[in-house]
Amino acid sequence: MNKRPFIGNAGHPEPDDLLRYADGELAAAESRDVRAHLEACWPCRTELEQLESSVKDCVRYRNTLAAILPPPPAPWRDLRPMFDHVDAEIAHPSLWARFVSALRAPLASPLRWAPAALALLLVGVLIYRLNDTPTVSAAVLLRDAVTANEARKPVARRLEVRARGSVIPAAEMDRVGGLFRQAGYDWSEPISARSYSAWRDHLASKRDEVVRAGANYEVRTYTEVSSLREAALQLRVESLEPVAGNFRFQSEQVEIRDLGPAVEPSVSQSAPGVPAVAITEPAAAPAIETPVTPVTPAEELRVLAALQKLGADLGDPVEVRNTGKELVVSGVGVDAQRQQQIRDALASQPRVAVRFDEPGTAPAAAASQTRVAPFAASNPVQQKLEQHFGGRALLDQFSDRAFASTESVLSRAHALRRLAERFPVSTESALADGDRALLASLRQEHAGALARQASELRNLLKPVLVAAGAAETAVSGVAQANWQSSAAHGVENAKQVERMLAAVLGGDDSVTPSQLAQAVAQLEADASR
Amino acid sequence: MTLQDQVAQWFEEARDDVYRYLMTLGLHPPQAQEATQEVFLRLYTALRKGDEIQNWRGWVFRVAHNHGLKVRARESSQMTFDPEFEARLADPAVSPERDLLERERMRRVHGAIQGLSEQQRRCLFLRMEGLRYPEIGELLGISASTVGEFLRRAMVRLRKANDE
Repeated sequence: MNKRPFIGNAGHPEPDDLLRYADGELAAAESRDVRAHLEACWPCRTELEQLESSVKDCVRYRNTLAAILPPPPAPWRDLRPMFDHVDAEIAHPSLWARFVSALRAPLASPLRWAPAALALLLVGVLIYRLNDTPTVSAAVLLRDAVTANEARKPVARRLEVRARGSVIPAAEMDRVGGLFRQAGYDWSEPISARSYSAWRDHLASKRDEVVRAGANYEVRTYTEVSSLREAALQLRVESLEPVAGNFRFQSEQVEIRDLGPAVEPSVSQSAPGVPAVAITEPAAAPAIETPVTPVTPAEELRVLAALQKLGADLGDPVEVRNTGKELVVSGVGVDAQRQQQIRDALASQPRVAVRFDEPGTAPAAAASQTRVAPFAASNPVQQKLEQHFGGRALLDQFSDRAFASTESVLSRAHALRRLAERFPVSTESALADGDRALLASLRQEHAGALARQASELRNLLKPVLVAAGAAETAVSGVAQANWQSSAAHGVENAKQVERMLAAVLGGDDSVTPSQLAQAVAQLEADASR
Repeated sequence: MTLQDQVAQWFEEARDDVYRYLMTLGLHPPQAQEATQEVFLRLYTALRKGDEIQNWRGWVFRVAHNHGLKVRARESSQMTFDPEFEARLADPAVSPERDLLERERMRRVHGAIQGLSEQQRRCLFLRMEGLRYPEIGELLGISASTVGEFLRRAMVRLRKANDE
């Protein structure tokens, strides 16, 4: 794990991490760190209690509002007649088509619009089905698997749990279980359709994939709203019995395989909350699958290079997953034209599967962002900024630009760090010369862009921060042992700048313009080393 | 339970919350009530068309927020709704709170919330309605970490208000 907890706050969690912790918004690993810290630290626990007390105030305030705001002026309507109306419109699309055609071409004959309406309807149905099928089939498949499993006699299973390519020793099981529990995933039965469904059902947003892989179905679910970012469950086609699971957490990946029923009766007697897991020693792990040559780092590197050439590695929409047997390139919300570019670029690469399980969206239209009317400036820095820009509206425009610029710095820094995580020093040094040179050119491109963007950001902010009273700063870059640690450091720098920028522009006087200027200068200096 | 029953039930559960939220956005009571009904009608239509909505409450507040802002912009000639919180809180006929200390506390909380920037206040109100950081961020066009930062600042203000 490369995350160093509690940097910059004298060994205590950052104040907003405490709130995130209380709100369940921290990644599993971070949350665990904070909890461990809280057990040891009285001041932080007091701080947390004070936060909770403010939360209580909010809840009471909400109740007070409910009591004193005027009640609805009219009785609430019964919505059912309107629902009926919606039903009728959906059931008889020709009515709607008639309406549209009446609007668009009042003189067109009915014979002309009828085929068009039919075609439109068919396209609609097709798009609807394409959109819907993966999700529905994942839900249906899981439901059937739960039913099938309930019909079977319960037997304790022997499971093999692996992370980072090796079997997890018994002593570490608790830690791994913690990852699952943090994500709200039932660890007592990690590869079962029931646990998987229960976790999946609670996700506010997710994307599913169902594929047939040999004798198994594979259900895969991606989400941004859980510390378990991606999970896959393999179910035997004929019995829907789970055989393996793959779990990608923010911090690490865990693979679990079913090795059959537990032999020793003692294993099945697991304590509550502890999975009926028998950990096999590495030597005893049976080779269930026929061995395949794993995908090499060099193959992975070439795929990444092709994607980077397209700029498809920025901002996270496309991801590359190494299943061991092949590289799966997938993405969410990628428009059709882009999907095709990616397919074309990867067509010549062996052992690459490109999977976009949704039809391409239309190329992104300008986001219709609604900005709410801001209130009058509330602190001296904001007042200075408003004066500098000549009004709140112009300051808001500037804020948008500044956040957009920070966003691109962040996505570049993340792309560089992802590369560093995929190719740690040991992997890099094992590459052939040509591949190492390719890797170097990839990272130089990112690093160069990062340096450019960081100085653009600094130039954008500098005059404004000076106007807001920031002192001139001179900083020099901090040397790092290797580019991998610079990459990790770059992300920390960029995150800090984003946080401080939000503070200064949001009117929080706990961060001064000078501190922000300092952080931006540091970001630039480190990025241009 | 039919889809109609389901949405009707959700409507009953959440309409007062949505209605209140829209008033905090500055909509007048009749507009807020109309908009609330519109939001649930849209929810029904989306579900009827086969959209899979995992978190209906999050969906409802997102649509309510965007629709509410549109309504507010459309009616820009009109003053935005002012709940006259202070006056109502002080009015024994309206305020449920007989306890003077509690009233004073709520007045300070209100003052602190009014002192927040609009974005911070929106984050706080949406969080009060149970939305998660990524949902709030998506709705306001900011990152989840900025939501965290805004909420923390709101909390600092609230605490300051109570320490005064």
